[in-house]
Amino acid sequence: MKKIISVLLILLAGVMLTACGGSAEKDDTLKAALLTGGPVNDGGWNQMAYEGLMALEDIDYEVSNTENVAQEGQKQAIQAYADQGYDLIIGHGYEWGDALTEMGEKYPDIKFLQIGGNAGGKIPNLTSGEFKSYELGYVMGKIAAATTQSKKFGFVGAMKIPTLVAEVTAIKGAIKESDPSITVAEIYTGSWSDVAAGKKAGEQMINQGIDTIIGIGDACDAGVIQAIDEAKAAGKDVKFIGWTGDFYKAYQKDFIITSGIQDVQGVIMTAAKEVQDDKWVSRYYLPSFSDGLLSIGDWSPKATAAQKAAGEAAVKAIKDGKITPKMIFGLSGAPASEYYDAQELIYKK
Amino acid sequence: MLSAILLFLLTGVIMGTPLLIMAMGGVVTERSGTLNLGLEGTMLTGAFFSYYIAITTGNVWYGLIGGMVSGIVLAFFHGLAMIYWNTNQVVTAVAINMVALGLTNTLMGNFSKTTSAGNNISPGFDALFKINLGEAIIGVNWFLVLAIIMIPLTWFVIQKTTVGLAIRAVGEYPTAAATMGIRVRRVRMLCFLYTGAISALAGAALTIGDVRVFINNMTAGKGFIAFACIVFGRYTALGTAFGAIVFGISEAIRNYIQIFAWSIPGGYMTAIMMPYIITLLLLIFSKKGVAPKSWAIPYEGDED
Repeated sequence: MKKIISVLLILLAGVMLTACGGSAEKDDTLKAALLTGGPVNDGGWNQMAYEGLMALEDIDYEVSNTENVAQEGQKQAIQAYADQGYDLIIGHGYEWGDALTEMGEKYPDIKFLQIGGNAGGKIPNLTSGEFKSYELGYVMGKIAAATTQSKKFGFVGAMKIPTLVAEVTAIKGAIKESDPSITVAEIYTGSWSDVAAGKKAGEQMINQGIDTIIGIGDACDAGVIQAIDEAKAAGKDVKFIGWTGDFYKAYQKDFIITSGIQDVQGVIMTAAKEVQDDKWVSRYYLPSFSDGLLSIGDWSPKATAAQKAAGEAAVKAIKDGKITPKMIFGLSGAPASEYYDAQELIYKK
Repeated sequence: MLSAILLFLLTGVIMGTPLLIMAMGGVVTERSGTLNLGLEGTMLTGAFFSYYIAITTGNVWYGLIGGMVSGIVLAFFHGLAMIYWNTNQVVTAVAINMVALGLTNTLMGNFSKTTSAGNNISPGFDALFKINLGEAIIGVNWFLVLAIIMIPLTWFVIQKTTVGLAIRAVGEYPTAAATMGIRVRRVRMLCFLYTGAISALAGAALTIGDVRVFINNMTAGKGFIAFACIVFGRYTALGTAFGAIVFGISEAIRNYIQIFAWSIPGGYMTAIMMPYIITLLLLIFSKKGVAPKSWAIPYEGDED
């Protein structure tokens, strides 16, 4: 009897936790769902999408989200929303491409949006918006080169996936173009959620004399910022450059020079309005500096004129069409294998 | 060169701190004859509640105590099911870990709606003292000091005291222990609650003792690695501590390989997997048949 009670208690707890999804109501309200591979409170990539989703409530959407979806659970997660009659289902990240395509074919009446991938445009109800992150990498690399005093730059990432490689390669290329004597160190922590690993990576870099760090990888950012904050207390001058979200605005810390913004909310809003106004166009497009979906974020009051000038000059060169992806990836002088994946990704269209 | 080696070892030990604390707590439960795979869950719960209470009250000590209480509460239900109701020890632990993950995700989800990145940083424990090694500055906080003290202390209590004798007795021959007047279930339960409190403390070492933010599932498998350290350490305090330190150092190696771009077979993938490769090797080379005789076997004796 006691065993049965204990099993029931645990089951009950499980049901209470998972039942939050809620049931479908039949009405005319448009419904949008967001699916992310990581936690939505990561302060970065996933959080931006979550905030973008929440903004849809202002244009009368009913919204829901599922976080921490593993690769093998993607189709089931999409199916769950499709069965509840959702109108727009968003898969956030490169890794959602296959699952969205397959479920898109199965549910032709539902619109699907992929952010940060290239699966869109092949079937009539799937759109992909893939940021020209190499443009952003180029601009941030130029700013980083103008920032480092010790001529040592560090990059902390979560996993070596194609989009990340493209970004890092562009950052490295821009740095080497500005000053070939700057060394670039990279650490991948192997986890999207292990903040402590990100912090330790930051500390080890600082202890090697690195004074400018870009963190890409959700939870890594928070860890690196904490490491720099503590190094600052110990009298070290280390700078951070944010990626995807506006880190200076969020943290209000002087050592955060600026951030490279990817307007995830803008991409979600565009798609949601297309669904609402019945103007949906299935496509694969590249949000860029030219259409304002990429931008430089708030500057720290400690940012120098040289840093701002470097950033603005790089943006202007890109807008004027003077910088192409081919040039960016040719700049780094890195072995071809290292940015092979990145190039393949970019030239696939 | 010497300072470089020292820096490397120190970094490794510091990286292994939460793991070391948790493994020192976990070894007590294992010696009392209960399989505790719920370390991950109690650590995550402790990490969340210590963070949450510290940030809402603004006091790290409330956070620390609250975190440990949350670990004890979770361990209480876990222990009640396993020790008093004799449920399957693996399945119960899986359920507990899932509950902990779901609970912290849900609570954090609700909490983060009221905050944003930047103002979600909790108060934390500052470094006790700093060590300068050339260019590098290493901060040592009291969690590390505590972890180091726990190694000889745990060894001493288990091996040299009557309490330790009782713990070992219920782990080896519970029936014999019962005839000597030891209340087997009570001893096991107390060990379990102790482990719950300590692994929650290890969780607190991650949040308020280190990064000062909470991210869903931020323990990233450390509870299971602590368990692997215990098995490798042959269920002894000293062996377990050795395992935890080796793991911490292997995490430091992972970063050093990448910073200095050392060329190793497999490159980036080997670097990323380094801690896990070393854990696997430890397990492969750990001796078989050294677990307490009644380990993972529920005590079916009379009520006590």
